[in-house]
Amino acid sequence: MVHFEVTVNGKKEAVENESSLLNFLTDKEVEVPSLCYHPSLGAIETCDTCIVKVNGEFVRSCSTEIKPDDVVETMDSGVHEAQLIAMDRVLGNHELYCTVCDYNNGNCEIHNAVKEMKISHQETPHSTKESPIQRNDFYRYDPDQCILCGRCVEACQDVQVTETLTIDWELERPRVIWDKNSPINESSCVNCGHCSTVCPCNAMMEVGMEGEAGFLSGFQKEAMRPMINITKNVETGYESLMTISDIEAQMREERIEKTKTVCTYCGVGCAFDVWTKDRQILKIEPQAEAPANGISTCVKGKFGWDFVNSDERLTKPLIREGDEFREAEWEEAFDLIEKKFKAIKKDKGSDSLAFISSSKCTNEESYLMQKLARGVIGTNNIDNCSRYCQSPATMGLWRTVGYGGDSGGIGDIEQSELIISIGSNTVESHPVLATRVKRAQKLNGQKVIVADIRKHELAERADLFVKPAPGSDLVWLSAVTKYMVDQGWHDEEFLEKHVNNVVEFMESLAPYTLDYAVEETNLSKDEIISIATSIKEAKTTSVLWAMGVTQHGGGSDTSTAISNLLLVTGNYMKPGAGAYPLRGHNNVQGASDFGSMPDRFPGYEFVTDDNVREKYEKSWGVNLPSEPGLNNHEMVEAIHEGQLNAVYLKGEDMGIVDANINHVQAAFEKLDFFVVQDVFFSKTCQYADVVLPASPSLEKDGTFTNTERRFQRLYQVLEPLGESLPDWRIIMEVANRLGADWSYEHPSEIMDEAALLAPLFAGVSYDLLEGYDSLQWPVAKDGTDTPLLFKEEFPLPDGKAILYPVQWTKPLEFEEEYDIHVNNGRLLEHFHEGNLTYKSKAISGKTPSVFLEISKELAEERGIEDGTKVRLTSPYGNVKVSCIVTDRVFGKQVYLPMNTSGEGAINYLTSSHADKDTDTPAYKEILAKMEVLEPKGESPLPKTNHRFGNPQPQIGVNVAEKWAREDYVFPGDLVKERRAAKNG
Amino acid sequence: MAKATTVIRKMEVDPEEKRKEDLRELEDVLLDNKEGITDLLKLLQRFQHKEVFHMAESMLGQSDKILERVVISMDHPEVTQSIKNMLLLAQALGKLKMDELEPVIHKVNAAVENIAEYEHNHNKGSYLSILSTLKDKEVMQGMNVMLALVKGFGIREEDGGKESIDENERPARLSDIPERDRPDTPSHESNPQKSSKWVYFIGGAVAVAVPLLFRKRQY
Repeated sequence: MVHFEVTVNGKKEAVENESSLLNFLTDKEVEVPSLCYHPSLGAIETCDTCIVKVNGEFVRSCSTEIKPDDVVETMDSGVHEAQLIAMDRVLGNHELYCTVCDYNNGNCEIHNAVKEMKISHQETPHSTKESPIQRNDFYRYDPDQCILCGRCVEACQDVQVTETLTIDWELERPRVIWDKNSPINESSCVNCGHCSTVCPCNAMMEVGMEGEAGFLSGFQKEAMRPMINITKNVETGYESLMTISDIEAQMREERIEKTKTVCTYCGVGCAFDVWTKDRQILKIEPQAEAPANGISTCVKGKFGWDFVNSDERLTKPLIREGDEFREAEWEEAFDLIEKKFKAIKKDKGSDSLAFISSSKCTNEESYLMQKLARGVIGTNNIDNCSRYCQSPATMGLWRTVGYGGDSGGIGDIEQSELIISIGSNTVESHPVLATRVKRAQKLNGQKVIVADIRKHELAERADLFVKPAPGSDLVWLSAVTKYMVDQGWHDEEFLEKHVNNVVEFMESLAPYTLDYAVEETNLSKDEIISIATSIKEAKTTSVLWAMGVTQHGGGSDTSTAISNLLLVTGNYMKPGAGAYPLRGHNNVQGASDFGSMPDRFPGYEFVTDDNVREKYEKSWGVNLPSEPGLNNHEMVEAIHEGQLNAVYLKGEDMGIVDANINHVQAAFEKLDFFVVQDVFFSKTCQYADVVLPASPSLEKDGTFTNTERRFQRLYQVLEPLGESLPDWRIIMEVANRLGADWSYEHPSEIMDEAALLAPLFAGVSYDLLEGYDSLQWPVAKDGTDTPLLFKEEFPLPDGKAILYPVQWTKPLEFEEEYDIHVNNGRLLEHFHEGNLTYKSKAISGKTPSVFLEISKELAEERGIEDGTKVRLTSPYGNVKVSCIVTDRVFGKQVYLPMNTSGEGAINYLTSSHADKDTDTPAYKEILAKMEVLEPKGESPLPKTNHRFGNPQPQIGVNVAEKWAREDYVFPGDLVKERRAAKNG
Repeated sequence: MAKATTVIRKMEVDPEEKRKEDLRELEDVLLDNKEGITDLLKLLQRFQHKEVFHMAESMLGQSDKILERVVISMDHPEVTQSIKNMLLLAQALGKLKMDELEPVIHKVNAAVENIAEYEHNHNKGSYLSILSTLKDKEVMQGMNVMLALVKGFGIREEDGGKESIDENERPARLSDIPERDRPDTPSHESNPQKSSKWVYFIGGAVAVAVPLLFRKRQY
């Protein structure tokens, strides 16, 4: 908190926060124009419109720090003249044809500045930059509308940090360029949409808006230019233009809906407004106030919504008749479900039925699904897909610190002095979160260490990139821990005050010597010591990890080892430090939080706890089973063994995403009755007896919980397509057919009930989640939330964390003939098997199919080139896929993205081997043999894919180059010069 | 034992049943809006009578080409200048002070009557009669009015404008800043404008209304 006084336009003002002069003036409601400045980007200093006088000198207020006793003039005639000169230059670059512009939606900052400054004419005529409009299927750039503010460049370079855009200040007429002046589609652009989001006008605009947003903007190209000319030639001053275009903009408000939602893809939890015209999605508009993402999106969140209106959507229930389905009415489908569920329950007992919830669905839907299983059917056979990914991470945290969630928020990761990423392809899997890591490293010098077997983007950028042998992370983590303890670098005070079981744990580290670690992990001693030294030198360390850690036979133990290391070094209980298991799906956190687990009620209370059970029995008016049920993995085995006869599964393509899918699909075939509820006819649907058409996130209300434990509301954007229904309505109807008497009218009522029962969410309510408001659990009854998870104690006996000794589980071993290690995971562009993202023509155009990444060494050895088709065969199945030769993978390690449900689907190769503590499949422990099927073929990755681009890193927009141009004079200097001439 | 299948038989909707249902829905809508629809039908009959529909259909059918022709023909200096002049004229009318102008108009009318009478009587004047006329009270009055008029023409525009400009209003464009204080940028506009939004609105609305008629839905 700063306290001093300044004088603004002759009036004394108190300064209480350190900020730029522009921010201060804005806070004080002193109007100063600004065009290049954006609160989420900071000062860019290109437009000069925010010039004011400080102590008699002209300065750009956006980049001027306010100091004690400053005398600020904003009303001075010289100031106004300088601002007009700047604005006139802007208008020389931007043609004001507002009424026929798709960006005329009340938010065009040039339009608004012209109005506010009461500008009626411009002196510098608009002229073309003699460069054509650039476009791809996502967005377009019109150089003749570009004011060269550089916001897009700033966002691309320093927020998204893809580093594709620059302004070429050396051109006679500067403009934005991609890479080294490539067409957009041949550049490194990842189509994240930051540029179009921050553009103050229509220069950089989503193609979905073109010709659609305005009433008059849909003219054919031939008529548009004369129309603009007429508008400009007849105008007698900009007031008329502004008045008419304001009226037209107001009319748009009537037909364009702007609705807040939360992204349905990864676990970052991006929130944004969706602009719709009827069912047509015009654009995604992120808002600075969105707590997790601010102005950021990735290509999927910004442009991946075509699936909502896909012709392939399920719109009617389907009922199996022999080897085919027929469309049916809801009544008939519900009748059949009621009849079958009742009969199976009666004949074979409640535990012969099982329920699988989805991380794609809302918290409220997860709650209802487990309530249906427990309260209506009477079984704890309920699980969700976090079983496939993050259960081991949760286990590791439960064991050590008591809560299975991120220690802080994305802001904590951003401010961490040292960020260690282990087994996480976060730039592709959690793109927006990764931007914060990249930005922190690029602008603020935070250190990044990456441990991975593949050189993904973050690995390339890392200060230290180490490549441990697959599945050996526990060994090097324990060796680092032991080395630090041996050096006396552990945090004794923290251990004394906050941690139990220290001595036993220290003893358990004995085997993890540097020599042992070098032997088992392939890391060098220097690398291990370097990691230890970095942790010691950093005041705060955050560890991010994902499937590269968890999807192993010892995934829970490795997650535990991470938490142990953080405890030993005192990296909990402070901002910028802690454990960050990066959640993969939009609501993978919430699906478990709300009780879709075989052993826990909502809020992670045990089903075996009599008091807890009694609480739920009283509330629901039923008797509840006290024994934990089956998890997903156990369900498959139980079906094979004839113990499980009916499954109700929603929003999960288990038949393609579970490991060893030949085995899983064989299990489905054995079910007596199988209900699948989904948005599309998935692979799993093919085995169903009844398929129920569900509505995706844009067609319902509810809440998601992101990786930061953050509750956010999604509002219904569109009506459900056809006869599809939101999952919560379907579950309620099924429950009521089975005797429940539920009468929820809105998901908020479900949340109220859950909050009443689960202490972890006691204070959560829709009222506190209005708009972009959010809450991070635990949420106390009074609504106080917990951004930093551990502040004074850990939620374990006597408030102390526990150091939990673990032993290394060696990865699965294979016969010698299986010599290729098949790494697998996500791609930026497609989400999982791609049943949502392949519906986007734009995304599919860039990345039409799955491909196998092969190292240069392996390619040379086996005669493989881009486009060569190979077959990989493991003991469990085989896949056929075309190759891409790349230096992202090494030696005999290959990378097979999971984005297909066809013959290249990774889970035809994987086994049923699983994490010993959570049954999470060991997807990452798979070796295969490889045969070349077709030596030559078309490359599976078009040259328009961003991976072939050539980024041009720089800090920001490089405005100094603009200032150095011969034709540039600072408007303040120009005014001073003229005043001096006037005064002789 | 359920084998995987991708065969889906679509539900066959009986066309007759569907038709009946649609008709029933339409019937309900008609009955609910009986009065309005009856009035509308009367209006439509008149349109029909006047061939409005055929004309509209033809125009809409060819809307892209018609619009292109219209805007291309309008995008011509004479046309845009004439539209602009109309807007400026309307704006100029707005500046006239009719209250003060009215007595002057009476005077002009009286003068016209005198001229007509003079022409009608074919009176021959002489220098003496001119001099004697100077003594006439009405002539003196008239000359004073004429002198005031001449004086008014002599007032500079900037000085005349001063009275009506708000002292606190800041210049809204570079040309409003005194020449010597401005950067060396070419100026191609010279008429200072005061806001007359209603004029702009009407002018703009006319410009906007024409293309709206031809707007083609793109989706």
